[in-house]
Amino acid sequence: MTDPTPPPDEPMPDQARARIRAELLGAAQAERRSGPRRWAIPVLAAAAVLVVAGAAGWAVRAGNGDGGGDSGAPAGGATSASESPVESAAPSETLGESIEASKVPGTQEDHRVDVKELGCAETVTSTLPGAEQVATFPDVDGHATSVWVQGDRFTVCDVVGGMTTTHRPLPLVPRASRETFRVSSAYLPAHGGGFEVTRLAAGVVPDGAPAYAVSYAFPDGASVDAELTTGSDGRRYWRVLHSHADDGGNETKEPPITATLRLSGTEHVYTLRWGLDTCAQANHGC
Amino acid sequence: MATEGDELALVTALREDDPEALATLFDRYGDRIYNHCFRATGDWADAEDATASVFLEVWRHRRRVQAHDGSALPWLYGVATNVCRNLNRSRRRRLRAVAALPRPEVAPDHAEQVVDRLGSSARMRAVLDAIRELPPREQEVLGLVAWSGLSYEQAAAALDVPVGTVRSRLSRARARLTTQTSRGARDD
Repeated sequence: MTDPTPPPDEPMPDQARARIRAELLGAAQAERRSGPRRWAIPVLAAAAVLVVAGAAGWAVRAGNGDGGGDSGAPAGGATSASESPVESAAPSETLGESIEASKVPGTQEDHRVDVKELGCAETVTSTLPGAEQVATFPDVDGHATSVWVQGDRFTVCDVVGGMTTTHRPLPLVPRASRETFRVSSAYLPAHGGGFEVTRLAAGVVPDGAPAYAVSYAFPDGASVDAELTTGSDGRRYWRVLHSHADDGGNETKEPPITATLRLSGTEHVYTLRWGLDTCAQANHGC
Repeated sequence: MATEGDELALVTALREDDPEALATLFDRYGDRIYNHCFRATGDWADAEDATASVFLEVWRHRRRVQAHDGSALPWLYGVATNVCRNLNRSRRRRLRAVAALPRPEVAPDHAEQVVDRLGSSARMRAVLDAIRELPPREQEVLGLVAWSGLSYEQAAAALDVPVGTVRSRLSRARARLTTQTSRGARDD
């Protein structure tokens, strides 16, 4: 067996040190400059979304007789009310008492709290600056999905269980390519242990395409048809949402996800590549 | 050398939104966190990313920064341990996906420093392989106490567990490693 003695310490390379220091100062100064007013609008908007999502999620769980278990912070608004950035202006002692999920930051649960605080309105400012919300989809299983447009591009944003996912922007005029049908993957702790993975895809129905249908086939055997909604900009958008248990195995060994597009009597099947086409999100890892 | 008073003043300044306090904390402890993250990940590039994440987390949670015996270091190690644990988790997923892709040609780089760094990365990964059979919580205690030189009390503060838990985890980790070593020697 290898001697479990690590190699000696090494100093951080000067270039990396300078870069990280500059990033830290930049991030800290930017946040301080913008102050609490920067938070107010997105937090209110996010809180509204979360209250809806949280109430829906909580109601679903309550309906299932699930008391919430010990999976860290409960989904939705229950914790957001006590952990909002507005409250974080309070003295540390008060804040320390109000945060139960994790006393030491950096845990996955802790990231959930932070991302939740950001919500769509704040997250989209990084993903697609200047974007405005033009459409929403009906809540499903606590998912609150919205579409945001800026110029000739759009992004989709989904909030569930306190986690926000936004996609890398795509053109409003869809291309007939695999890129159009990529899915994001979000992993959230499941009630019974392990993780639940949610795959999300969304797109624009092309102008003048009355017979446009999208469906996805997932490795667990599920086949999901896209839902449609009409945005305030007059465009129609589609969404596919599917959640299943992550068994912790190697998903790349599973059959690929396929997207089928039926358009004007023709059918196109796009086979998604694990990793490349299953990580469409812009604001967190896979 | 920073005094206890210095450090408490630094923590206070950080809680009061002073970006310079964050920079000072990074200057003071960046290398130690960097090496801790390297020992957790076995990769210098990941350690850089993780170090940046750790200090960004510190800023985002600056009002929760705690000093243990006048030092913010144990709390920083706690943040780093959590960040690296998450990094390793997401990296395992990424690696599984990348492993399915065709391998690109590796361009040789003869720079001495690069070779040294690759050498230490390979060695660290071998060490991490050697302790892989330990439960993650025992690996973390081993990393903090045996490798990063924290006292039991500091490690307890970092992990937010009682000191007795640190002692028992470390004891079990050492016992397991001893068993592994003797088993390995017999196999040889």
